[in-house]
Amino acid sequence: MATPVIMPKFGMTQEEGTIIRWLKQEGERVEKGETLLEVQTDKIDMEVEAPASGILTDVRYGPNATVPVTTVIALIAAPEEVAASGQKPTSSAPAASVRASPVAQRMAAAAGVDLTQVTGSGPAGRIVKSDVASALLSPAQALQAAQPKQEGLQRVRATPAARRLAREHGLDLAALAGSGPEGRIQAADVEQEAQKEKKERGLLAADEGQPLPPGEAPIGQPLLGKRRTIATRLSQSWQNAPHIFLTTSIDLTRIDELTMELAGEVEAAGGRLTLTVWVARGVAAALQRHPHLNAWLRPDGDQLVYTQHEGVHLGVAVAVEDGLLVPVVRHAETLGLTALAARISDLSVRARSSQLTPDEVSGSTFTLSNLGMYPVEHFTAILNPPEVAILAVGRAQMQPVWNGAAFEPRRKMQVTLSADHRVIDGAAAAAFLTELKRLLEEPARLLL
Amino acid sequence: MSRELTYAEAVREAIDLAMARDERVFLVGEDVGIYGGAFGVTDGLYQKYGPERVRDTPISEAAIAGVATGAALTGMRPIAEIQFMDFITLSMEQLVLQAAKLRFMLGGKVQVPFVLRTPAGAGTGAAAQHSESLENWFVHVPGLKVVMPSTPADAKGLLLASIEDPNPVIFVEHKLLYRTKGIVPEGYYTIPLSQTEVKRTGRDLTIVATSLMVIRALEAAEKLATEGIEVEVVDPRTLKPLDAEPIIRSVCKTGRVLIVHEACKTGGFGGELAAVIAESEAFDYLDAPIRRLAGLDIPVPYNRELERRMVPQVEDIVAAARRLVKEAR
Repeated sequence: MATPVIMPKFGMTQEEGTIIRWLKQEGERVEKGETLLEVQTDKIDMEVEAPASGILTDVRYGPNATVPVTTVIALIAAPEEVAASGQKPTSSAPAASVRASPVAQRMAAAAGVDLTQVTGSGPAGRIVKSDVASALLSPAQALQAAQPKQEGLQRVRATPAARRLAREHGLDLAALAGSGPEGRIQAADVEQEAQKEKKERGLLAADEGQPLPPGEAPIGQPLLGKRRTIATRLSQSWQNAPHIFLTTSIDLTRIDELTMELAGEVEAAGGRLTLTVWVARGVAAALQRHPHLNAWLRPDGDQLVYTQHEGVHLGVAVAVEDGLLVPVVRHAETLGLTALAARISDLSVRARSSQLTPDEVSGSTFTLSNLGMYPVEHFTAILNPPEVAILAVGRAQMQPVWNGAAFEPRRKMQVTLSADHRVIDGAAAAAFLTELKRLLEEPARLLL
Repeated sequence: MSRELTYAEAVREAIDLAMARDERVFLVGEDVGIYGGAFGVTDGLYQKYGPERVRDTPISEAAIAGVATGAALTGMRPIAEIQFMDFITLSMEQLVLQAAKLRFMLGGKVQVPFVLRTPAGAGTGAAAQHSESLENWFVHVPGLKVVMPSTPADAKGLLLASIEDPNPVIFVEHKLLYRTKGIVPEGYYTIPLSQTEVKRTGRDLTIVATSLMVIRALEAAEKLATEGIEVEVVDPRTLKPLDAEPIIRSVCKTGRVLIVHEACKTGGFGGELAAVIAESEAFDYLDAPIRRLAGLDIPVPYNRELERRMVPQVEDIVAAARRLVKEAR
């Protein structure tokens, strides 16, 4: 049977080649290994050798033709085949010399195939069923039948695990080199390539994208409910609002003295005179004097709408078992220390036992977040949208303070204001913070 | 309490416990009585339980299987012994057409609680008619369960579970395992059928092996460990119904699997295992072809060296495992 000459695939990514010229002409005798034609790819010019010896026939593409790789471009036929197609042999050939199986004989008789023209592939050249079947196919059909085999050879050799990983990483196996037997691509080859890609993209994370073996409980879980809301709101806030952060430290000497005096009374009314209560009181008073921080900034269609509030509705962040709640103290500016303490402790208790109503956790105009119960000296908080400012309170601790003659121990704490820079300028934020510092360091001013 | 017993002693202890516990349990087979069995497994039971419950039979495997099937139908719990698994050929009609199908044919109105014990395997120089491993013939028959324990403790627990089972169980022992020792718990206990066990954990390669090959695979694993290859050895214990899940899980973990059995490769249980793995989610985790190491497709030779070559040895397992792991690295 004729041997097909195909457009070779020289490179991994090569999809087609252009014939420059044929060095052998149709009908010419060629030897296996002789140069048949020259081909140009997008990278180089290459010579194509004859895959078999015989007569070059059926040249299908001429110079300048661009042909997909593996396409049959010509055939090399055995000399007898060419002779046979040119001229029907005489029937004088001795029929007795043909060896064929009974099935092959029956098939040939039914289809009118001349068995003397069929090459047998069975033992001792015996013509068998499949030989007659091939003879029955037209040359075109025969080529089609031969083609899938060719493509099969071109297919990428890869293990199932490598294929799965390539799918998961979105990698093209054809572009990978395999380290296994006969170039088989294995899981490690794909992993290596994936790591390389990641590095190149500067995204090399410790465990990102690592597939889990089945049977192991997946560690990843989609965020649900409250957590999901928190995640969405915080990333929106962080991405949309350009934050500025201002930190100051506040001397607590006076507050501590007053707390000693007043704690009993406050406690009798059902609250505890904590630093949070003091800061809440100070913030409410400071916001009254700097109302531009007691505001919302919300998108409305294409526009951003800034709304300043008269009442201070103070959100107080409370850590709960599965996240964070921000219950709201309504009109904090109207509440004295006793009422504030009672209100905050009531809200915190009910936040932790999930008894807050939706109204009690919405509508705040400024948020207070206190991590002073932890050894956190200072931190920055992310704005609680649509608010434009939030105060982060760190731990109070004794510090040496230079009084002009000597160091003296003072209890101090750091507070950090985060503000939405789209509407709050640094100076405005600083003015608020200065006010707050003065109010808390000289709490008598709260009476003014 | 546990102590060391041989595999043969563990099987005997299981039979003894079952007979002591349940009047309906009796033994039937060639030379199982006065002689104590060709491999001494039933030694002493005739003296303890008498000729009524330990019955020597004429040399007719068809009769042994037929008697046992009939007795099981009447409510007895027979334990039949076929002296060499090769002779099970003569019991086929009773096992395959009768024991396996009667419960089904009679609409569930009868049960066939019958255990057929038989030693398989080469390695004793007993030639082609006394050395075969024919377990997969029975795996192919709906209605039969096939159990093939590899350790003394498994043999005892699985035999007691087989005796309790209301269906016919082909219980395949191995001649070379009879003298192997292992820790065996005292007293009556069962190991549920269809429970695959991981005998050794490892990350590089899964070896699924049966019967004697489990022991050889474990030995091979020790050698491979010194080369830094960590092999997981999985023992199905019950071939049918197969508990495939632990096998699949293991292959998902290691990505490579070598199946080892003594029976001839072609048509052996390894083909079934390979198909089960390839059909499962483990397919996507395979990083090398599934490989089988099994007996050669020849009758077991009498010549001891040829006999040795015919059956996978420890060094063969080491070589096959090494090749599989190396090519997948």
